[in-house]
Amino acid sequence: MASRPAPAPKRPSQLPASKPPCNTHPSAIIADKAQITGAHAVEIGENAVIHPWARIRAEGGKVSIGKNSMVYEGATVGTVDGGDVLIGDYVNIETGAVVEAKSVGDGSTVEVNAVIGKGAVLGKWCRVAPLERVEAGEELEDFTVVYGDGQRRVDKTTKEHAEVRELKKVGQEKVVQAMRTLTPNAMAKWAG
Amino acid sequence: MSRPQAVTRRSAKSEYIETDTGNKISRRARIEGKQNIMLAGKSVVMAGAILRGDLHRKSDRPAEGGEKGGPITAINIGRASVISTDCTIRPPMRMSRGQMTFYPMRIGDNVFIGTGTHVSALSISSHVHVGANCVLSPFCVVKESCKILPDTVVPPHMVIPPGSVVAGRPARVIGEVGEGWGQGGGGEGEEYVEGGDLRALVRSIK
Repeated sequence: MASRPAPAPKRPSQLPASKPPCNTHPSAIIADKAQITGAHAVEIGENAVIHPWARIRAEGGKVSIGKNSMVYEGATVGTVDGGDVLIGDYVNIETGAVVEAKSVGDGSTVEVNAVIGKGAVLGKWCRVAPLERVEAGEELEDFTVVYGDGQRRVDKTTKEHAEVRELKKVGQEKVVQAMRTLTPNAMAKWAG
Repeated sequence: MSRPQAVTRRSAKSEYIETDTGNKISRRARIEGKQNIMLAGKSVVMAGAILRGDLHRKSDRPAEGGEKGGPITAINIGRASVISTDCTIRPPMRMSRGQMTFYPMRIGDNVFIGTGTHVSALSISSHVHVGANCVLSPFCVVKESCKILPDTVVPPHMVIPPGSVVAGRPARVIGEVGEGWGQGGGGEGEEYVEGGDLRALVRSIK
């Protein structure tokens, strides 16, 4: 029996077969282990942060991520067959969330492991609590909170006080700044 | 983290890498910042688990003569703890002194974390059993010998007192673990008991 050859040295990670045309802002931070696949265009805005193992699937349509938005690890953004996904500015898509919505308004937060169905429309400053589901095609008004097993309510504090919204924006910018110091940027891998 | 043992050329590729302190880490685990993660010994990290050791507190202090004061531990996991498949362990972050900082996270001994759970707690004490698909939001604190039922969402900053059974969304204390929590089991060949000694379970994981 022929002896086994020496194990090959570690190869650098190879790009997935279909690397989509990415239009990324130079100040965006994309981690090395993020996964961006698909054939449609991917647009990543200023200061956006894509964590390792976040998945952006531009297979069903283009994906666009706004300024200062963050896509955390394990989150999946984009549809396989459903159409474009537009993520607004200052949006947080937390760990494990699956977002196939047609659009997510500015300032919204989709929390851990939430599922947003195809074609749903989330207004601005919405909040979807962990493990919640927003069904396909559903429309959420601005300032809606989805929580506790499907209940909905309106976030009056954010709606009525503009300074709360400003503070949230500032907070988000700080988070992005903190990420910038911690995550090595592998944007070169995905640019162009 | 301790160094993995040298693998002989002829051995088949096993699922787990075993370190010299007895930790078993799956080859398919997704670990960022492994130098900031401490596994005390005989702990298991299963496939697909995401450990974010790269999210650590960045000290603002200027370097004292170019010397850094020791490695920063972002995640501290105790002995004989089990992190099941597809979990996410990430240190919690919050605004402190005008900056967003990450706080180091401590997980105690004999902690079982069920599959698919998201753990962002500040600390989890020993002998805790966390069910599958839970969400432990940032800065929650889980004290000793608790049981968290599957599909629970623990809201941020919640402190779960020792010995409680917690369930629901948002999580509520629904009962207390009995006197016999964690007793029995842990011996060779026996079924492991929730909250008990997980070393036998760790040994049986190949």
